Amino acid sequence: MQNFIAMTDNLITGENVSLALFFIGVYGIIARRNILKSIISLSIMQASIILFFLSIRHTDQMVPPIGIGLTGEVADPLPQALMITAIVIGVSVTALSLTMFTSLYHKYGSTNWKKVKQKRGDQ
Amino acid sequence: MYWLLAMILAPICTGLILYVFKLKHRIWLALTLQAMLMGWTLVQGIHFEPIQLSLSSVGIPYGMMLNMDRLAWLMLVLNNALFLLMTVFNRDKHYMDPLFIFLFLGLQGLINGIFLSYDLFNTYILIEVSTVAVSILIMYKRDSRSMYDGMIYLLVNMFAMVFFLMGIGYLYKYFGVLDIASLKSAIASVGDRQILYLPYAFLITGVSLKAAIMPLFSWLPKAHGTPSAPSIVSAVLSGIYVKTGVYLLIRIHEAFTPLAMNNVFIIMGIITAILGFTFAIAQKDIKLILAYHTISQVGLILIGISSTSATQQAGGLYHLFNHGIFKALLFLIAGLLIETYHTRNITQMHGLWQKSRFLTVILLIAVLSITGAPFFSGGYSKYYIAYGNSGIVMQLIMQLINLGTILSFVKFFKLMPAVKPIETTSADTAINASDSTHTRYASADASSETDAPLILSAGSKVALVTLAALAFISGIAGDIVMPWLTGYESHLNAFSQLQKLPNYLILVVMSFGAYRLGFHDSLFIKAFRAVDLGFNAIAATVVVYFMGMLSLLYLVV
Repeated sequence: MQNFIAMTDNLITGENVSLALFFIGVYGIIARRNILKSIISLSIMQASIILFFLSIRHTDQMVPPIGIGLTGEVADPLPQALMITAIVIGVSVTALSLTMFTSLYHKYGSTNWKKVKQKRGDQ
Repeated sequence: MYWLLAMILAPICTGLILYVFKLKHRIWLALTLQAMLMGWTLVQGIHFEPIQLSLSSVGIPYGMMLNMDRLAWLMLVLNNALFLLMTVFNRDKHYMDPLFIFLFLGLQGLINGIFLSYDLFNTYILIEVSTVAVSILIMYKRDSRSMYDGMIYLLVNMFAMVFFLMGIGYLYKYFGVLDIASLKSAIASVGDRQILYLPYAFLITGVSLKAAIMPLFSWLPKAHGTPSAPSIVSAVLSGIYVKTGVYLLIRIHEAFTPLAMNNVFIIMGIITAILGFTFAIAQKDIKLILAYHTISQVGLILIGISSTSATQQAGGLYHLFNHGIFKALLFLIAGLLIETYHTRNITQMHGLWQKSRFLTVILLIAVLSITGAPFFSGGYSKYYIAYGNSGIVMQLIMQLINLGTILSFVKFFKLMPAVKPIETTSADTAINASDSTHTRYASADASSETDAPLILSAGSKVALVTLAALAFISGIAGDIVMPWLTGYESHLNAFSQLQKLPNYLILVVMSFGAYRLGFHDSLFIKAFRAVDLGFNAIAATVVVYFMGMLSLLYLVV
């Protein structure tokens, strides 16, 4: 039992979880026909990347790079700065996709990629 | 120094000011700004030297920097020239409202930023934002189709850029730097090449989709050929925006030299070029022909830039520039033709010579350029892409690509000549055939409304003439223009281009023959016409491409 816990501790790291989330998002985008689910999958992928950036080059004892007179090893501030930008971009892109989805739904009356494509072809 | 910053920020800020304050002479203000940017870029070319501008007090591995080297400068020239001419062309169109100008100028600044930024994360951010701007621009006319096209474009590009960002994450994990120079030295000194495979595969997937390399091309015709996009937007997208992917590909291959993927990308370039023109032959929609043709030309550029010889690389870059010019010109003409004939079907367009002699000449120059005729720009750069290919196979492939290009443009040649008037019914009217009022044109759809001659505004004429002149000058005076733009001393002057004429004429005759025989309507080609991937299929090709690239790296290289 002890061994098992130690093994899962090693396995469930931020990096591995983020990779798993990334490919869950990939699955959602490939396999789901619902446009809304495509947008959600894209958000999952973006969230996984944020987790990935924050967990690479990070160990447990690190302290946040905030304030003065820090003791101990300080976490790398660069990925955190990058990810704030990425979050902003991700939010705006999701908002834009949802807006476009709303007007698409008004126009075609469907949330299904295949049906929307057929209706587009008819016109 | 601060001009580099102005290249990015000035268009965006000006667009915003014009949008907020809704000034009366906004087009003139925008034009002044664009002319200033263009002027500065050209002045840099007189005695070119690289410029770097640090954006923060911290040094380069951690800070941010703008960098203009020869390659970035070439792209800046193309970008600013195209945006300036597009604004001139559309000066008095009704949809040039403040919002459109804001998005259009913003896109110019963002694309400048992509070429100038020196680290990969900034590039990612700029590409994401420009994708947003482009997806709004391509559905600007709010056509019923446009929602689907815009949605596919946005989501597919976002999906690919997530792969790109993941690649950046892996690079940062291994090397702790993001700027290209530091990455290059870090990668060159890496001991175990295997750690490069994953970040490379992630990065190249995102970039390949941006550059529309096979099989990641399906989004491009939808975005570039959509009916809802104004023709200047299509022109900018095909002329410069798709080249951002090519540009990044060059940069990434520069950093990842130890992987030596040149041959792989030459082969992919050949496949892209051949499939691109095959799709183009299958189309009847004038904008879709041009959009698919962009894919084919990207393949050709890829063959050039992936080569290891400096000559072919310079040829590829020069072709990138030339393609930007003549493809933008063709899209503008396509927009005018659609307005004139009220159809997008190219087989229903006839007798342009009678409608507008001016436009016919311009179209002829554009078509000659793109099909690689001697004395025109396309032929000049294609010569250098094929330069030094000793193998017979490679030469045949280049000839095949030329043939396919001409074949897909036969339809453009056909709409130009004046249509012969045919007699209406009886022998009586045949006597009066010279009387033009009693004759009608051979085309079935030449109704009275489409007989009206084409009238162009002064701005449109200026833009068309400038683009056509550029396409011609970069060919006939290629031995002056090409060294100036790419820094490579080319020696093919106007006289030696004459030797290429027989080859070109043979290809033209062959393609007209193939067209007569109905090659463009054969079952093989019709199969291509039916290909139209949905969103899930496009996303699946992205993943397949990623997996394929990864397995190629692990198994073959």
